[in-house]
Amino acid sequence: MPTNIPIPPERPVTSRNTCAPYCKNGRALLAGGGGMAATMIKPTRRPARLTLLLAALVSAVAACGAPTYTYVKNSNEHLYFKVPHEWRKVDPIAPDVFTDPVDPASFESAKRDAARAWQAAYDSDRSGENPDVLFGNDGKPFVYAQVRKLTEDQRDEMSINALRDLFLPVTDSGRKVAAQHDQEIIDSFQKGELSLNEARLRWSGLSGFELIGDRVLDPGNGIKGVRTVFNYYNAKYSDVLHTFDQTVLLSSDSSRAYLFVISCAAAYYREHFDQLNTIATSFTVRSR
Amino acid sequence: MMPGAKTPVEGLRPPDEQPRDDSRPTRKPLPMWDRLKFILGIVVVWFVLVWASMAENPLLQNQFAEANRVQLQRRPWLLVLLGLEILRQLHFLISEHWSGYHRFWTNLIFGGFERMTHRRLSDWTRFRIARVIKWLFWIAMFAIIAGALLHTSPLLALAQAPAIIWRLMPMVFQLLFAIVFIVIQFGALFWFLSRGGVDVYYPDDVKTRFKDVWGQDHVLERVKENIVFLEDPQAIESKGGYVPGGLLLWGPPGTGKTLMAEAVAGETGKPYVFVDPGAFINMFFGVGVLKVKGLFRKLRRLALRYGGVIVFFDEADSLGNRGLVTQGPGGPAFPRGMRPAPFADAGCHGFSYLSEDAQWLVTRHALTSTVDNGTAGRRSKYVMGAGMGGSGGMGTLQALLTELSGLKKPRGFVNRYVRRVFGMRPKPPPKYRILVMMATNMPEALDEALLRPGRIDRIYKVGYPSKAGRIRTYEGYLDKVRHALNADEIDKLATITPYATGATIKDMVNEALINSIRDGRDAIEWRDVIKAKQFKELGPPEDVEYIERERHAVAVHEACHAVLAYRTRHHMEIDIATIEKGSDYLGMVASIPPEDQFTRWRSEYEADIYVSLASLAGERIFYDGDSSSGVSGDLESATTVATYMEGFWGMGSTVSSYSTAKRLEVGSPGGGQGGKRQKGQNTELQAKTALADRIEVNLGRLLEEARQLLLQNRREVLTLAHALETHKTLTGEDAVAVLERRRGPLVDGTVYSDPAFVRQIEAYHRAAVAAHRGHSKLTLALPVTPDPITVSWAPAPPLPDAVWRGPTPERDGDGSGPGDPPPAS
Repeated sequence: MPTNIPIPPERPVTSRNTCAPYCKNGRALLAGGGGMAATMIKPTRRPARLTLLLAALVSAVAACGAPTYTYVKNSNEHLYFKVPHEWRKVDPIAPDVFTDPVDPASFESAKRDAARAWQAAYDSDRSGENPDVLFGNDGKPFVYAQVRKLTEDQRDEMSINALRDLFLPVTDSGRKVAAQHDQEIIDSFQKGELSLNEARLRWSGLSGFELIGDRVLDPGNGIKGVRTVFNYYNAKYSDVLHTFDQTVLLSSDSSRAYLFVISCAAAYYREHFDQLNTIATSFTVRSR
Repeated sequence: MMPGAKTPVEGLRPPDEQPRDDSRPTRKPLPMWDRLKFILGIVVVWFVLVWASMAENPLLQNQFAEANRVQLQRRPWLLVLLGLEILRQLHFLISEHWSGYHRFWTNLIFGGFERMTHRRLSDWTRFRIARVIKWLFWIAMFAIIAGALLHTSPLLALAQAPAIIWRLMPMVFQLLFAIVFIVIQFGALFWFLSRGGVDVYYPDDVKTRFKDVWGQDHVLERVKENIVFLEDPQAIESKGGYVPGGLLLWGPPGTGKTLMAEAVAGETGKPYVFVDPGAFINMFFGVGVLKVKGLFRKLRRLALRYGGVIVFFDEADSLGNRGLVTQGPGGPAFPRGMRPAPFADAGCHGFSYLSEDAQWLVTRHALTSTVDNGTAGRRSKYVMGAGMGGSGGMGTLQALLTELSGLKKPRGFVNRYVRRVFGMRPKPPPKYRILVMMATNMPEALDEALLRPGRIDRIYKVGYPSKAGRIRTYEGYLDKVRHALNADEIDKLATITPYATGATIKDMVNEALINSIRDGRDAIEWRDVIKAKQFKELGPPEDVEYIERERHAVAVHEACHAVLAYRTRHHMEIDIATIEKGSDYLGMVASIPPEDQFTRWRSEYEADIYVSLASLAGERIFYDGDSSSGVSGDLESATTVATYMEGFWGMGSTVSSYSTAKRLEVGSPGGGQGGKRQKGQNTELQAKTALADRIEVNLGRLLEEARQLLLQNRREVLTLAHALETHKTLTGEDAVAVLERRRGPLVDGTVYSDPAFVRQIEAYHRAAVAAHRGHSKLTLALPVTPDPITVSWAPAPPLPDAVWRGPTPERDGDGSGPGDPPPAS
């Protein structure tokens, strides 16, 4: 694994006001005590003044309108992140569908569903035309968050590397296994053991892995994790090179794995790194 | 504000200001707090929510403005509320300053709507619409809250409401169970406490019959009448009347009230419910009320099933009353048809020789004077805390009053609810024929409201039996034992026991039987009866032996009473004279009325006073002006009677009533004054003083007359005193026999016609007076009767009543009786 990862150090997220002029007004009114002394002297005028003040305060807040970000949270899991306010919430499709597809009717699929305690997805494309969002052709950013319940066996196997490979194969061994799996599918297809459709369904189609950055996280309170940024092609869905900014955290008792993925076209990621980095670093899990 | 419009003033107007026009052209200004409270509240809620979201979400920490925006995104309705509140306050503000605007809203918009609804809709319709709106409002509130809780739209939440309610059912049932559990505990407790004290007897359970009630025929006839109507209500109801529902028997104890009620139970064909006097003494509030309700539920059921029922409250005074206030002015009065029971007491220094009425007056006077002594002046009319009845209480009596004649309401679940469901009217309550009988010897303790017609229709006094009744009673009880009394003796017995009741007669006959058994006989004789009577009236003698001179003094004292009673009191006759010391007297002369008499006369009261004053006059005569303190009780009685004669009965020199004069503060003749009181003047005291002067004059005159009478009867007094010293106790007949110097039933009075013996007696008296003066021993022994005392147990020939009456009183020839008015003071 490369050790020198150009991920900027974490910094506190500060929201930028997109409506600064109004809010400045609002702040001025909030702090504005210039008329207070006068109102104290003339009590008859006080109600009107005070009402006006309150009205101004609330109207200032209202005038600022929409907040900069949508603050997403799951209070039960103590999970928080934010996405730009303009992004829309979409019904998430589990990323397993892309990485390790199984028949939705199978028992395996049901087990995976049960393992997902919670998931949420936000799409920067408000048109809603690209449902297969993780490898969307438009390359616009897409955010997916998931809380996964781990079985006893999975807990025992959880290591930083296992966390890295939780979503897409990132480590060498992980990628080898994936490549071997793909090769077996191809062989089976060529031998005629699998139909074209079956082979397509089970083939991951991943190629062109590039590791951009990797940083082991230690948010404290026993939670550990890793943030990895990498590129992949997926021949099954798109011909655009995608960058995945993936943060995986493990709860202190190893019963939960928290996955947070931003995916977009590699070019877009380079261009909008600051914004996407803010989103990625906003992903917070408090110990249960 | 309109120019020139006067600002309305708030609050009470000053005393001397004209009534002002309170209609305002503008709205009344709101206090500042009322203007701001909702706005402040909403703002506070807003910031609390913002603070909460910042505290919860780590991404929002230090992001106040952003948190505000998120809040706005999430709860815009708070802002809407705030806006509406501000709008409302603005509306008020304008209304406060612009009369036109205020008028527009008040008169035109709201007033117009009000007028329109009143014009178009009836009261009933408006009420129903308002009810529907209220229901809709609360359903909407529920829908909104449920929607918020279930994260769905209010309409969907409403659809889920049955499910929610169903889910809540276990908890609701749990709560209900808890409540019911507690209620059942109390209910069961009260139910058990409200049991008991009521017994039901069915016909033939009781064997007592009307024929077992003796001596109260007049009352019995009336009671029978009630029973007849209860047995056959048609007899009176077909003629438009109703069955009398209530019956009160009152009178002295032992006169047969309960026996009469028992006879009613035995005679009637209806169930008979006996209510224990203690039934309404209860530990908790409300138990008595429950008991009354339970009792009357039972009575109604019995009345329906058997066509009538009799309920008997024994010792009804235990029901109590509601205090003095309800009893009319002047404290406990005697409700209609009632006079108090006579005070039964005996004793020389008591007042047993007074007539019945005089006894009562003395009693009442004694009671009221006790109260008067306690507190000074006019503020002593009521005794605080007295008269609460003590028992019953806590609404028990009121419940009884209501049950006796309350609302006649339809009863029963089916009758009242099921019938209504089918559009039928409840059936009116049927005629419950309940005859309420009550018995008490304290009618004054009963509440007046209990005794009004409709509750208690008839009030009968079960008084002392008449002579005929007593004879019947004596015969009844004597028939049960062996006796040797003839009809004349029984008649005489009835005569000399004027206040005998069924109970005392039964007791006396039994005592006589004990006497005869003690003497080894098996039939009752006359002397047994007399012995029993003396034993019952005087109690067992104390067996105290007086020293001779004191014995003589007591004998002379009593002889004076007896002689004046014999000479002047013709409306009564001497029953007994004794010098045997009892528990609270040294000796006594008791008189009884030989016949039932119901009016009292001035001459009789004067005779009472003569008899009372005889002791003082006699002691002064026979002890050379000395007198003892033993006369205090006599003087008290004499003064009381004299006071009533002078101040109340118009038997003195004046006519006006002292009680009225006192009540109206007009003063009284010869003292006090009418009109305005002068400063520091106590008209009552003046009236009293004037009255007291006249009473003293009257008493002085009567004392002198008594003295003259005694001087004329010196021989009689001394001979009777001798007989008393010899025999200790004399019956009335024997005393009269001594006075008339003839044979009595037990004592021979003929010995006193011997002048020599009388001289001995006189000598003995002088020796006793000398011993009294020197506090020395008597030098002479009591003269022994020359002929050994004839104690003849053989039945003496019955004397006609007239024989043992005193002779016609010797009046002064000038025609002015002893009761002539004294010269005006």
